[in-house]
Amino acid sequence: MKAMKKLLAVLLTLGLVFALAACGNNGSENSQTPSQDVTTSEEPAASNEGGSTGDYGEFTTIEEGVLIMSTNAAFPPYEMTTDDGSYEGIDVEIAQAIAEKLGLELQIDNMEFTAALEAAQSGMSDMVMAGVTVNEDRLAVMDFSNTYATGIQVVIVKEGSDVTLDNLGEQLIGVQNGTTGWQFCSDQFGDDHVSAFDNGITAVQALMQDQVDCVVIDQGPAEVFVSENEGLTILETEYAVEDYAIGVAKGNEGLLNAINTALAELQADGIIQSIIDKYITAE
Amino acid sequence: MIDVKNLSKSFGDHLVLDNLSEHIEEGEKVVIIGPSGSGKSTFLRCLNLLETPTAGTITFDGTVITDPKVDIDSVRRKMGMVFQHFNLFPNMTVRRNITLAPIRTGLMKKEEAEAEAEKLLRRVGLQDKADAYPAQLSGGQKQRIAIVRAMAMRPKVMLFDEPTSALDPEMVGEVLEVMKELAREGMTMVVVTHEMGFAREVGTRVLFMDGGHILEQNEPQAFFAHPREQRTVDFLSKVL
Amino acid sequence: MDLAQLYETWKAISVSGGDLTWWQDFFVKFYQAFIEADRWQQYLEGTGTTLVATALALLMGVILGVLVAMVRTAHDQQRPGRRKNPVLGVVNAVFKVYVTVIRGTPMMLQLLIWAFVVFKSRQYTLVGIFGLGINSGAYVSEIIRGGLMAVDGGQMEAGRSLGLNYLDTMRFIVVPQAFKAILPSLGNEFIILLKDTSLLSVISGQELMYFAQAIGTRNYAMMFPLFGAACIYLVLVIIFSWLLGKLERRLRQSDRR
Repeated sequence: MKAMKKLLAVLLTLGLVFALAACGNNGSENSQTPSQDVTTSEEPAASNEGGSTGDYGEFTTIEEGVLIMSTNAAFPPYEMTTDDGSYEGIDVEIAQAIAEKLGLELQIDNMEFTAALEAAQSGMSDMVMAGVTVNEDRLAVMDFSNTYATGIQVVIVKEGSDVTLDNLGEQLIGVQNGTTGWQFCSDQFGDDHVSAFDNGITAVQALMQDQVDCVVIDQGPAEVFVSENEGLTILETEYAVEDYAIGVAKGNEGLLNAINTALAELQADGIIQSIIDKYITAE
Repeated sequence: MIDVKNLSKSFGDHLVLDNLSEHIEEGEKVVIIGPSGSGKSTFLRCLNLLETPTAGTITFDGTVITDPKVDIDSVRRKMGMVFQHFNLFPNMTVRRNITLAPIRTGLMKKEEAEAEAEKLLRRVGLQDKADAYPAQLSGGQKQRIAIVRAMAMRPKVMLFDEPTSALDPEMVGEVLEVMKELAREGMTMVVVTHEMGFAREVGTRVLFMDGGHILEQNEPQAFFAHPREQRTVDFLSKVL
Repeated sequence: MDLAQLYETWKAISVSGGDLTWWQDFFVKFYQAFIEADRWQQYLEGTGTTLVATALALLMGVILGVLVAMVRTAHDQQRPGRRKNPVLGVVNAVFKVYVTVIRGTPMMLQLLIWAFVVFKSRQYTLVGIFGLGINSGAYVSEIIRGGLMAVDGGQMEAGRSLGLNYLDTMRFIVVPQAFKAILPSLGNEFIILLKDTSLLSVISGQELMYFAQAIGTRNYAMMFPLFGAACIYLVLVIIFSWLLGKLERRLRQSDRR
């Protein structure tokens, strides 16, 4: 009984501390933002003396010296996990290159796609990079960098299927929840014709089992899916073409400018193209 | 010892006890009889505040126990109660049923309480049941142990709420025997019962309750021989 | 020929478009999901997180549940006719809102709200466990309250008539009886909690389901990792049910006739 009482006391204390810490966090985040501006903005400038060139201006990150990227690492070849628990993919490598330019250490938080978008908006990550496309609704809640890659939404069907772009409206379309493919399809064909899955692989799995008639998804992952699963093919005509950008919290112009400058340099150096070529091999 | 003044109790709109006054002396064995719904159980349960009176005062041993400031737990330690359905604690052995209250209330040390339990169990002939659980006992055995459990607190008065009503007929005798022995030892007792034989043999006073009133009372011989009220006569003719 | 070579050989056949028998295909996929790159260790790591998360959330849920149930029962059992305790009334009202809100909203929503609205902390797993514990506490409190209410009122009366106070009567007489009665529903709640930890992956918690999905993403084959995770959950639940059964039998001791 004594042991029980002790345990209870410890737990109650823990809970209290936890709650207080959380409140403290919230409070400081709101009240200390201005002062943080000053301190962190000097930090990258100082470390920039090292390798990178160019001027990235004044910017702030949530944690000093760290660039936190939220993503949904189930979107090959843009982002996926590796067996040793780290991440790889086009977005991951570009983010890594940007972080190096800015003199920051890249940290990745992997979660659901919608949660990844929310994390950047609510100041829990510095940026969201998850094959995010810019659209008006998203512009209303967050700011976006310049385009770093072009995503092409294609249609995966079973070999020998009679699905075409023209009769897409009569099919049940599998999509990944929260992606632009999902938005386009549900806007154009209505929710009755769209089945949204947590990730692209599940959607493709559903196609294999004839639970959906086709899958609308980004070309990059689509090509990998088709090469890995027999009996699937991609329709020749593209469904939509869209631009991928990096999302940051609204009003964080310092960071946005720094990212854009870094992107421009990486593009000029041909680094971005080489990263994309590494993952998407032209056949 | 117990002084009841202008006691009323109602459940919602239903008036169960109507302005009742009564005095019980030390050493008395008061037997309360009456038809069901007459308020006799409620009256008994008011005596140790298992029911909170709507109006009136109850004084026990010089303390006005109906005063909200009174520590009711310490009052109840001096008033033992035995229930119709025994209410033994099924999750404990008989020994622990008996010793729990004396130990937890600081009345006795563990060894002391266990010796007392042993002694009381021997008196009711159940010393071999100390380590049994209530589910393993017969109704008569359960009720005898319930009496022992109340006695272990060394109460000044014992309240019995129809202690034999839930028993098979062949087990009534063994329980009444224990109660009679208690009475012989001089315990103050208030007993709600339908056992007229017990009332006649053991009672020093019989109260007849009906409709929330004490309709009539007398010493047992006179009460049963010459009931004064017509309703008492009707009731007795049904139960005797 | 060892298994790794066998895997490489058959995989090569499959990749180059050749046909595999069904069991060769099964072997390749199984190898890929569990043995290649020692992936089984990731399942174990995930299982570890799942178990720790369950244990912590369970502890929190039980403590919270007991507290809420005690307060709510004490409030409901106040003696009629006497002045009600105002502090108890306020706390009871707060707990009532807590139970209503938690039971009235989906768990996943709660997790997202804890993570992105309330705590805004990157300790996602910890926040997730906290959310699970809070959620579980609401359900556990109702189970316990039901158990306390179901204990025969005569037990409380008997305890109080002996001069025991309310807390002692609860602790020694009512609670042990209620505990025995609610053990099956409590066990059920714990099993649900164990499986609900899979929702942690939504907010970046790295438990069993997270690793299974990650491996599936890498292989482009979902089925085997999912079945693997399902088997682990099943085994955990079976072990847990067995332990629960043992405890129940021990508590039933007093029912022997």
